[in-house]
Amino acid sequence: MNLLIYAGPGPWRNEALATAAQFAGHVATMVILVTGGGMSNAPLLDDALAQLRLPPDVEVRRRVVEGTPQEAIMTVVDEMPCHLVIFGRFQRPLERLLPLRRSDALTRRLRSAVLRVHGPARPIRRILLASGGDQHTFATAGYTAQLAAPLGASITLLHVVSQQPIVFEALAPSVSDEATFLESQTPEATTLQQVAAWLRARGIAVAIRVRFGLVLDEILTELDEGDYDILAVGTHHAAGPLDRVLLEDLTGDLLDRCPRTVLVARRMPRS
Amino acid sequence: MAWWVMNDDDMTGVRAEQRVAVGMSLHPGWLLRIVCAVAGLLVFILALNLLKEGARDYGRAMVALFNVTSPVSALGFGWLLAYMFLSGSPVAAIAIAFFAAGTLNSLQTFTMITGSRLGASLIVLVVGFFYYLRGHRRAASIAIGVLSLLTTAAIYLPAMALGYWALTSGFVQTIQADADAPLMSVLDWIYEPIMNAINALGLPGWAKFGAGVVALLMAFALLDRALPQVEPESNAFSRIGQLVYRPMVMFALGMAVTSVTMSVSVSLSILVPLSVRGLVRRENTLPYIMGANITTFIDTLVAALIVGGAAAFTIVLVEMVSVAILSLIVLLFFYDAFQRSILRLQDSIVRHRRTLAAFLVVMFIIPVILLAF
Repeated sequence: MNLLIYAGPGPWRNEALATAAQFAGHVATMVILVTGGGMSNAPLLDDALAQLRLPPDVEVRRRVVEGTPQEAIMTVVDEMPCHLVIFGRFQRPLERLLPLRRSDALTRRLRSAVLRVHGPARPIRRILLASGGDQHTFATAGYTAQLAAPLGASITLLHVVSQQPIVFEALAPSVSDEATFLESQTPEATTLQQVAAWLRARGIAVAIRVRFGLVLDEILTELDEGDYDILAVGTHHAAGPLDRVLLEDLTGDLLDRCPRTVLVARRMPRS
Repeated sequence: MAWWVMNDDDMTGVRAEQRVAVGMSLHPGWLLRIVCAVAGLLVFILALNLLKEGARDYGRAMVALFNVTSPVSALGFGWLLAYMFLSGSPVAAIAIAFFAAGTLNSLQTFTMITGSRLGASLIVLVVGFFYYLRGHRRAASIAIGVLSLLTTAAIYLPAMALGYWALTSGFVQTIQADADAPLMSVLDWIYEPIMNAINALGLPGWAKFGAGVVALLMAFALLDRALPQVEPESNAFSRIGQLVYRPMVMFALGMAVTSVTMSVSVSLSILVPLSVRGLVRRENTLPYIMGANITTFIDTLVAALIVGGAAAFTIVLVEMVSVAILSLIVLLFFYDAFQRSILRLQDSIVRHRRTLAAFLVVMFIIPVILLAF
C-alpha cells in the first residue's frame, strides 16, 4: 500500500503524523512524504520520518513543492499515484467559517482514499464505518480493514435509516428498531451482514448499529456517544455532473462537521 | 500485510443495483386527457360563478352562522371548511368567491385562504387511512401527514404575518382595486346564458352554492384525469428514497410537481413511483413540501383572476409571495435548525398513539377556538 503523508506545516501536522505512525509501518510498502512552501520546509520531512518510525523495508520518498499544501499534494499525486493520502485538517476551528483552504475540497479532487486527521491524536481502537447499506460499503470496509486489522481495532458498521413510508400500502417493511431492521431482507440489511461477515473472516471484531433519523446528525451522535477514534465513510455518490448539482454531498458535510479523524474510502485499485 | 481488495463486484449474491428510474410520460389516451382538461376548466369556471352567485345570498348567512367577523375567525373558518371538503383548493376558491360577492373583506379572505392550507395539510393525515384523495390518489402516511402539517404551519403562520403587513400597510396598492372587475369578459358569452338559465329557475342561494361546490369537486376530478401520470421509467429523481438531494433541488421539485398537480397531498403521493419501495428520505421530504406549499396556490390564483379580479388576484399573490419569501429565508439561512426542529417534533408526535391522538384533538380544537375571535 502506497501512502502519501503531508508533513509540511499545518495546524494538525503532529496529530496527522502520530496517527499515521500507528499503522504506516504495518501497511505501507512505500511512503511519500510531501511538503509545500518550498525548500525551507524540507527539514520537516526528516522530522516526520523520525516520528513515523518506519521499518527499513518500507521505501521512503521525499518531495518538496512550492505552493500551498493542497497544490503540493495534488502535484505529487499526479506524479506518483498512491492508495491513501494522509493529512491534517488545514483550518483551525474559526477558519472553517471562511472560504479558505478546505480539506473537503481537496478530498473531492483526489482520486485516492483520504485520511483527514483532526483533533488530538488518539490510539486507533474503535472505528465507526458509516454505511448507506449499498455496494459502496464494500470498498469502505476494505480500506477500514487495512487500518483496523494490524492495530486490533474494532469496527462498528453504522447504518442510518432516514427513510419513512409515504403510503400505507405494504410497499415497505415498517422497520422501526435495530433488531427488526437487521432481520429484514432489505438490501441494506443484507449488505451490512455480508460486510460484517467479510470483516470477521479477517479477524476483526465487528458490531452493527442501526440508528433512525437524519443521516448527518445520527452519524455524529453515534461518533460522540460511542467515543470512536476514526469515522470511515465512502465518497460522494455523484455519478456525473447532474448528480453533483442534485445530490447533497454528505461526505463533504461530514468532513466539515466531524470533530474526529475521517477516512474517506474509494474503490480500491487492483494493483 | 496483504493488500485486501474489496469492491462491490467481489461480492456474489448481492443485489443488482436497482436502476429503476422514473419519468413523466403521457399515456396513449392523450385525447381523453385533453378533453378532460378542457371540460375541467369549463366546469371549474362554472363552479366559481355558481359559488359567487350563491355566496351573495347564502354566503352571508353561512359567514354569520359561523360568526366570521374578523381575520382570525376567517382563519379558523377556512381551516374547518378544509376539513369538511377534504381539500384546501375548493375552500380557497370559496374564499375568493366570498370576496368577489362582497361577503368577506380582503384580510378575511387572506386569512381564510391561509386556513384552507392548514386544514388541507391535516387531511393528508386524517383521510390517509381509508380513502383516496381526489379520486384515485393514494393516501399519505401518518408521519408524512404530520410533517406536512407542521411544515405548513411553521411557514404559513409567519408568512401570514408578513402578508397581513403587506396588505394593511399600503405596501401593496392593488388591494384597493375594485373587486367587481373580474377578467370575465372573454368568457362572459359562454357563461352568461348558463347563469341566466340557472337564475331563471329561481333557485335559492344555498342551492346555487351547493351546486357550485359539487361542480368544483367535479372540476378537480376532471383536471386530475387530465394530469400526466408519473411512471417508473428514467428520471434523475429515481433514487429519491435512497439518496439525499440538496434541499434547494427538492424545493424546486416540489414546486414543479405541484404546479401540475395543484395539491400538496397529491404531490406527496407522486413521490411513490419515484421511490421504488414507497420510502422517502426525511431529508428530501421537508423541502419538497415547502416547495409544494407555494405552487399549490396556482389554481387559487386562476380562480381569483376569473371571479375576483385584480384585488382577489393580489390577495392570493401576496399569500404566495409571503410563503415563498419565508420559505427561501428558511432554506438559505436556517434550514438545518428548521429541519431538525420540525422532524424532532414530528417524531415526538407520532411516537405514541396518545401523543398522536392529542395532536389530532388539538388540531380540531384550534380552528374552533379561532372561530370565536
